[in-house]
Amino acid sequence: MKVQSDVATTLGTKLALEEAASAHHGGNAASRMQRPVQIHLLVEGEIDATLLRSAWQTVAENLSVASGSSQRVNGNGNSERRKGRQVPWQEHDLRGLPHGDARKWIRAFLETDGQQGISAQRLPPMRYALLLTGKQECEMVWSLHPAIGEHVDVQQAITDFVTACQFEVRVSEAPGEPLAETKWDAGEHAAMKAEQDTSVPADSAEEELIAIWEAVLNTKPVRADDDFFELGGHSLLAARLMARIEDSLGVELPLASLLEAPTVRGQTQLLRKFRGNSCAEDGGGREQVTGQFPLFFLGGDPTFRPLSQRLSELREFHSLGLRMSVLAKLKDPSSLECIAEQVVQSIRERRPQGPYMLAGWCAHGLLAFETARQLQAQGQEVTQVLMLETANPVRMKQYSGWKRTIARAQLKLHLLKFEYAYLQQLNSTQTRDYIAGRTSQKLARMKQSLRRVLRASKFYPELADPTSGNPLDVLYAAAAKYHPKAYRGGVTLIRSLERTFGFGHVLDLGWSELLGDDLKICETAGNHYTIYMQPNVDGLAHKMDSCLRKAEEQTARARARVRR
Amino acid sequence: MVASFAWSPIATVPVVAESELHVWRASLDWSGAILSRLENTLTTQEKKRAERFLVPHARDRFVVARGILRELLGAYLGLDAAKVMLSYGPRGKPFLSAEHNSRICFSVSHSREMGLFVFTSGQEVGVDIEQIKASFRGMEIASHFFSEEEMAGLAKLAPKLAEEAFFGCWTRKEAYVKARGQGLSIPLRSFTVSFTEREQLVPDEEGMLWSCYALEPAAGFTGAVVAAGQNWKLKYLEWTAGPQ
Repeated sequence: MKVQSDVATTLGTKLALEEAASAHHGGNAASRMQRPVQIHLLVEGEIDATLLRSAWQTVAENLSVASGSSQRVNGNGNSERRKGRQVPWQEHDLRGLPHGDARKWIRAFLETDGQQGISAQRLPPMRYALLLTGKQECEMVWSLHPAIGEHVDVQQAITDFVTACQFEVRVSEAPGEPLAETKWDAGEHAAMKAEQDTSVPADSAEEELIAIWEAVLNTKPVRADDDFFELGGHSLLAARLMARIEDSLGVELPLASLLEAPTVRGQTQLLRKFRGNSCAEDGGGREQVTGQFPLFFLGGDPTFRPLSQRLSELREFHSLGLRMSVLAKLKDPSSLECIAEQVVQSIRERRPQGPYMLAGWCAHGLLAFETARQLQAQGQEVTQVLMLETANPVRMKQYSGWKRTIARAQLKLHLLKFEYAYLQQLNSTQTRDYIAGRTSQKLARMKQSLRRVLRASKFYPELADPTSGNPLDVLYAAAAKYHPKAYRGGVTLIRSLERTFGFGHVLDLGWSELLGDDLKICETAGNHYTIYMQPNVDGLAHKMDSCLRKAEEQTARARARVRR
Repeated sequence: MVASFAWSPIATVPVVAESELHVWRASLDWSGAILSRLENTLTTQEKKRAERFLVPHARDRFVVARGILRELLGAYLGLDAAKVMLSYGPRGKPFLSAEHNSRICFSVSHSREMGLFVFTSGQEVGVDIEQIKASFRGMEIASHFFSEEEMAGLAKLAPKLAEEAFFGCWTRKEAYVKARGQGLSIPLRSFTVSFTEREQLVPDEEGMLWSCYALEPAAGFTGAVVAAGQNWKLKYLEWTAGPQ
């Protein structure tokens, strides 16, 4: 459990910090001013409670000295100040409790001050506790005496805490439902959120931006406050920067925005604004008008651009690609579950709340399936999962022998057709990105990995080196090892009409047994590869959209029944 | 065509006639006495800005480019370079302060050690220069920022030629948005330039025509200048350090 702080630091331990709740309590007037603050910490690596404790006590000490309000608490400044430096530390291990019980426990703990009617005079100036909720998850609860609460800059205290931890800290949406939601003053909470957004030092978007900046400017290290143009940036590099941000983060920032926000920090805020805006528009207006839920398409490969374009014309569409920089940081990149955790995080950064719809081709379909499972486990609604030509790896392994040889030859032929369709599209302006030099590189890489697929004669070959630098290799290796678990919810398998012999010829690709009635199968023109190429892509996009629409209608009907 | 790119080094700065477009090129790699001479013409603010550059050469090149601009403007105005007063538009485009009561419009661009400075009398102008680097992979940028027609044009070229043509296209587009004075706030995809024509007219959204001329500043560089209106007489001039 205990990790030396220096070891933890060199290992790059990270804390994800969230101030999940800051609310007025009900009860008497004094306790209404009590401000319990809950901080949710996700620790990569073991939790070092000692370190967290000493970091927090440093902050608490500064607070009680700075606020000078302890004197007013009981009229005895000196003794109270001394006490303030030694605020009793509580540590509760809730890891044995089921999730729901742990949350109830925390709620009860938070409410003690307000609900038990302790007179304000007798409340301790502040108290805090570390609640261990998981191996790498803990919550810090902090409550302040009303007299101190007025003088305390909560944001500053959190920032100080983060600094004292000596860890790299990033803000993230904490999983799980917020505490004491009914008691929140929504306006104040929003204001607190907005405040956090600007004052907490670093987050994952910022990290990603820094990596992009460093690559574009070919310089290291880039700090959050460095000016793009002072680092040697010019207009062409600015264009490249924006192109890469769009490719990696899915947000199209105007070129001119770099003049107004020429730092990573400024750009991070801009990104939030852009994402926030799209969330607000979609969440508020669009969802009510058309009943459309956002579709998250996994697999950011440029060859999917025609499909992405068509789908984005039909509905709110997010494309999520896997990046080596992210995969390399995962605990276990060879585990599809672990990759899916990262996808869940990315999705919830874009849309914190469901309902969600997910789709992916081949191994990305498996990733979509596992991601949906995890989102459901977090209490989120997943309306539909679309798997395009995705085989159940467990069932597939049971198929072997001479059929594989024929299947291999057929797949090769199909790949040739794909390449032919692909080359034809090079002249079309709709697929102009393919002309790009970088795309040809990506295509070469993809071909390479596809050829590896063929050599192995499996949909998902197990590779000797999943850290080879190609995210597809990592995904395929993880997919080969993946055992799909039971899942309750709509799944549609989209099959190509031109199928290979062997397992590829099995219509359900091994899913019926696991998914039962939840599985729907829909066929579309083309082979394994050409279904998302011209001239098949229009048909595919419309089939996908109509599957999603049906699922949306079902959800709407189910909701209406519940209301009645 | 090559003959038109005879950059004439001259000692005295000519007067800009109404229909003339003066294009100056200059090397920015100066040190010692010339660097300090140019640096002395800068305002405190400009010097501060120079000190903020974190990349080697960037600081000196900024100082030299700004110093040369001041010397040229000083020569056009008949003033000491240090007495030239500059103001900035909302998008950061510098222009001569109103106190000078001058019609001179100018634009500056530099890439590595080469700088281009263009001047007109009373008409908006923009210039851009880029070093041609085959390894730059400009297509990544083109796919995001070029119009459909431009991409279609590039697609017809062999990859190597397309990389070169990319720079020709980019400099024309950037010179255009600089001339418009709105920096990069005009979406680059919203207008189309021809990267094969050395001279062309680009209409803006109100139908006004802008003249665009391709430039060959030096081997390995390409550039373009755009000015409002038509029938410009271009003069290619070379800035030399002159007496020290």
